[in-house]
Amino acid sequence: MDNGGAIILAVDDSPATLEVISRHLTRAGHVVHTCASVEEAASFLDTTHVDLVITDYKMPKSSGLDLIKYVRENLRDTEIMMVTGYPTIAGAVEAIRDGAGEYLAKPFTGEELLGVVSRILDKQTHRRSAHADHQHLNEYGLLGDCPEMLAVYDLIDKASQTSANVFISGESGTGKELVARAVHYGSDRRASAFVPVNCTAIPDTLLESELFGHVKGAFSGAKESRAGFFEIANGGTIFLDEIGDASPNLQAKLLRVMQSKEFCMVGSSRIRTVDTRIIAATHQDLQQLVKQGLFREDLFYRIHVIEIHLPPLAARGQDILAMVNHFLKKFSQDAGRPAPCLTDEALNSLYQYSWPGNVRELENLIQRLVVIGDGPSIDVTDLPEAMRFSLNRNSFGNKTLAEVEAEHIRHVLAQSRDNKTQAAKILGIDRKTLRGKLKRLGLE
Amino acid sequence: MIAANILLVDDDAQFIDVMKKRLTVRNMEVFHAGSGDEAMQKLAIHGEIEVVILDVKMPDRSGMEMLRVIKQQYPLVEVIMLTGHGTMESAIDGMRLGAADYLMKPCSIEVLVEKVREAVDKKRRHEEKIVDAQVREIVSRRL
Repeated sequence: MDNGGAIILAVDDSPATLEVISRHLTRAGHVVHTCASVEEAASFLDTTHVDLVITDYKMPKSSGLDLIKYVRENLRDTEIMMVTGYPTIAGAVEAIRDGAGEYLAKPFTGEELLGVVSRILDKQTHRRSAHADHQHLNEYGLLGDCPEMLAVYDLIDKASQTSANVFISGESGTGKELVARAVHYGSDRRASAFVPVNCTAIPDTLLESELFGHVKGAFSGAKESRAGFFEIANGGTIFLDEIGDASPNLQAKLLRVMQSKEFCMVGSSRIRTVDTRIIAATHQDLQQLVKQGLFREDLFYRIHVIEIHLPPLAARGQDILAMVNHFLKKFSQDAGRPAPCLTDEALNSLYQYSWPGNVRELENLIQRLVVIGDGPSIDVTDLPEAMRFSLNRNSFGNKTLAEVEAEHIRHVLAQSRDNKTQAAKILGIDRKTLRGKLKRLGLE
Repeated sequence: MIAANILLVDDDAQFIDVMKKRLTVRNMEVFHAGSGDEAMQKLAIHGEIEVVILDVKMPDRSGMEMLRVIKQQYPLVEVIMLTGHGTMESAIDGMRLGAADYLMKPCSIEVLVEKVREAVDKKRRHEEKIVDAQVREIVSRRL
């Protein structure tokens, strides 16, 4: 990656070291400033943008560790690395834990210095473009940049880089299949098939044949050999939607193929091997189903390697506006007419609405409004009645943050019928943290 | 209340035995694994594990590979590298990959316990921050 032309500040009480660093880095095309102390460097950083700080460890008055802490607390976008004439494992651990991106022992060659600087600037470039990188997810229909969705995008990117099984949770209509597609098409399996399977839609009698295929003559009516879902998805990804509704028979069959990666087509004794990544999704609390004995624990752990949780639409704040605009544009283009705009009152009603059907409900609503509407704008009177008169959620008045937190936890617990596992999941925390909060807020 | 839920990963059964006893008497719940694969199974089964104490040299997988996989699949789980063969390079690599600490054997139990407590605090602070961010989001939506 080309990272020439960075602005670098070198901090060392040794003029000779500053001279060496400046010479090598200037020759590589960077702009280099120098300071002889931490205090001087802090003043310089207050007024000048710097991409990378290179600091010595031992200096008079304050040490390089103090500068690392200063930079980490005040300049989140600036990288920092440490050079030292007294290298120790403990020193390296401390410097990196405090926020240094690299640690280089003196004396170093020009090549070593340039290598380390290049690595750290590459990392910075990558981080800066991370947000832009998420734009490619739009093509899979994933929209919005609320904090929860940014976390989802990060997980999609991470999951795409591995072949680990993925479990996607979230309410109906939040876009679980879109996430599964984004993981598949972002991975090196993209050239092979993505096969979505709705676990509720397969009757038990056809189960084995649908999953593993059958050979000609395997049963009456089997006039041709037919490949099953797993074979079609060989080298690619199988998406098991609504896995929580899988029958015990289906669960057993899935577990067997996940364990051995082998299966036989119906009517054949030849063992076939598959390399299929499994992405499973459900709107149900799978852990609760395990506890109730309705879902196999061994299968749960097989599929639950990376979990991606999709937030409900009502919790995604301004994302609603981004999605409204996206769907208005999309359906207007389909209809061959200019996109209408929403009045402030109509938009406000959409913000207030609880969206039980999530993104799917919003998409259907906008499609309907575009198809039946004939004016240049959509007003509150054009919206369905439930949205026009939805409850105003702005009822927290002058409550403290703790009171709002307590109230929200109480509300989620009530919604989950006091099921702490489910409530913790909705709140995005683990059970232990929820227990701690219940105790602290006096809700137990 | 348990002070920490720990997964101890080391192929030295005697070391695991001794450390398990020492950590257990300090009110810590200790799971253990003798190989990388076993460690991943334990992490998948025991969602309560907060800190992994990981030997850098394992028979089936390198500690660095393990660290990378753990941080990828369980980003909130803290990992303390513990090794009898420490080098500057592996310490830097480990910390850059997201280890909470890198300790050399022999390491006193007091130091290890302190590092575990720091790692647990870090993890819990991180979780608190996530919750706070969500609450802020909820509050800002309602104001």
